[in-house]
Amino acid sequence: MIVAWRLEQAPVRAQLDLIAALDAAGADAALLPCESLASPDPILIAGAASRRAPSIGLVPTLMPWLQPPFHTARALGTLDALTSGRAGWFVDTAAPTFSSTDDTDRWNASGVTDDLALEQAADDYLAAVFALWNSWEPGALVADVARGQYVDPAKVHVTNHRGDFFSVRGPLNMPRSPQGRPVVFAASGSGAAAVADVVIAATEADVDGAQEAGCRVLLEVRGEAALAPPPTAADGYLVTGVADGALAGQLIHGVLPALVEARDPATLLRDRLGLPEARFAWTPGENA
Amino acid sequence: MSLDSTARRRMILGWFVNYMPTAWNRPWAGPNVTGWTDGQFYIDMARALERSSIDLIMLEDSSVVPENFGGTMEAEFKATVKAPKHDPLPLAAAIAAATTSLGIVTTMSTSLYPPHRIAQLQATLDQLSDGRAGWNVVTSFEDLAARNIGLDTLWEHDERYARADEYLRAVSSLWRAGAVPDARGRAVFEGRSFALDAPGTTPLVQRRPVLCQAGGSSSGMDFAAKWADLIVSVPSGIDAMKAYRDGIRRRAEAAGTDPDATKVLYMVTPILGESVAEAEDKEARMYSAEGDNFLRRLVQLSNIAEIDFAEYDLDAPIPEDATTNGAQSILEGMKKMTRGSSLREAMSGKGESTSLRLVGTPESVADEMEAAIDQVGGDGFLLFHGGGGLISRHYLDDVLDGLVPELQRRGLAQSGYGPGTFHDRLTNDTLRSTT
Repeated sequence: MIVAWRLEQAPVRAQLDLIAALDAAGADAALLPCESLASPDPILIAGAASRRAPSIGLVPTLMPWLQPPFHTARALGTLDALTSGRAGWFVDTAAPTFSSTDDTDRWNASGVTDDLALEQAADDYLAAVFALWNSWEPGALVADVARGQYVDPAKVHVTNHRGDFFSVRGPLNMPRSPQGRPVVFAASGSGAAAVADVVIAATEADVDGAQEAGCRVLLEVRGEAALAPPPTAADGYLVTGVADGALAGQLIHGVLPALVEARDPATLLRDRLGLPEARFAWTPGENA
Repeated sequence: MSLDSTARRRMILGWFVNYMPTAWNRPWAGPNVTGWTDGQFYIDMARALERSSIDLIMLEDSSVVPENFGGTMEAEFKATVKAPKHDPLPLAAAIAAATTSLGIVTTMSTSLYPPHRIAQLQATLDQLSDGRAGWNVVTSFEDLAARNIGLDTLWEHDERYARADEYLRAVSSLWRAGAVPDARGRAVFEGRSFALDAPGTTPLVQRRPVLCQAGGSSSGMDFAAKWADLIVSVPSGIDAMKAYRDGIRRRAEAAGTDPDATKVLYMVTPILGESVAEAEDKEARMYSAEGDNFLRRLVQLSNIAEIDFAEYDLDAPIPEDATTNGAQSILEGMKKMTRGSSLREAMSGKGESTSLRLVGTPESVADEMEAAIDQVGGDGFLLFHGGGGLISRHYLDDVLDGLVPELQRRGLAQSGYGPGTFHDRLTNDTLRSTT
């Protein structure tokens, strides 16, 4: 079974300790929360955890409304490099609880309040991020010392994403990351589930529907219910809602050892979850 | 070593570095010329800096693959001046976890990031580092960067600084709102260009991150004197260094703030050898018009000036009637420099991005640094050997095992860290010594 764990919002030290404990227990992925702008940034927590927790997948939660798609594509791409291929992204498409605008109106889907437009903005944002992740072909970084060529310019493509909400020229200024792109997580039923690699099902009834999308499905087990995870057709569990230290200890030492599978600690998160390779998808001319 | 040097302040030392390829097509490149991407080289470097009691590491940032030289990415991918490059923020977090005393300064642009995001990221870094975060405030100038965030161009220079001033007030309001224990409020900010209604950030350890700025122009210096705890500059030569620092201190005094609270660092690239002749040989190779570094420097100049120097004959002066949409002052300067010679000749023999030519043995270079700081009045140096494609463990050793111990022996640089936060240590002029 795949075993992932969503951390509760907590101070950075507590989060770092828990990530290390989950890593040692053999859990596959830690989903790092970001409830609001008042929360510490989960990408940085993942970066700080990268050496102390050397095997576990690190999956920051980020809303599309937080920053332009370029910054998100770049930060998560870097996290993937920094963790040697263990980065993910839980796409949280809940409506923003803050407003921050400037006179260019470029940072978020500001002014967009109805659900349909928010969903369209999230789709556009994801399309922009995915396009940026495909701006460098695999093998573009040639490091050909004899020819004095570090990168093959023919394998780096200007993105030119022009959506209804977000425009990005690109390319990214970084090489394609170890996993091709970070593993994308989303809740079943959210707009992002359509492009997600891993879908979180809240109930067993949601598992069936989610599985049709051809991705990995995790069943959410909440709080004390995680002490005796129910049988499921899903690929594994996502433990959530464990704020209590004693319960966390009980789960990590008493329950996880029976669930987790032995894995090569140096493996990519994508391989660890049994996901196919991230396809390189960029068609010359189509985006120009 | 004792704490008897009350007569003069200690020399602050920092290192400016890019999350970019390390040396790859030159000697001492090491076994893996693509290994930089996982950040371990730079984490190890930060640890080495901390062993040498260096005050701070500053991580540069930019977000474009330049096309200034020749109109394509091709030259950039040979020269690796600015690209490829990774996001310095996640690396800064990893460095925070691997060190305990080193100041960690990250470069973030007020033109490219939304204010709520910088506020959140800097607050998080300050927590992760237990009070060691710094923000190098830049305003960016590349139109290609603007087009990555949905704009066509960035603002003119003075307007960028006017916006940056309001931006810092907006960000500060988020930090302030987050500072009240148990009653963290919302920040409501309504300015000329920015409007915010958002929760305050997670609380910082410092009152705010150490603010760093590199302002060379008059509006840049005004901004720096108003906001910065730390200023990075590259005036050329001792007189220009002194004039720059005096200008900053005058502005601070005029604004009624303590001029000693703002520290000025000068960028330098020491080139060290066991003899002066050996160091001069290294320098000649590094800046030779025949060497592999020459294209790199032309590309770098094109990037800084946004002028395509590929359009000009290397073996002729820049034509007097040449014009540019980029930096007029740099083009006019290059016309003057190449008059009666050539672009190749003008670019040969000496380096740029350095306030002083520091070429020699650890002892002779320490002599020059000591004399310069005594004449200028303070406050320290920012070591730099980059952007991409130049830094190596070999170079780090030259400086950290050769030059820095010499500065420490003379009682100029600290050989241990003072107490408190990064900001506390930066403003503590007393020399710390572990011996």
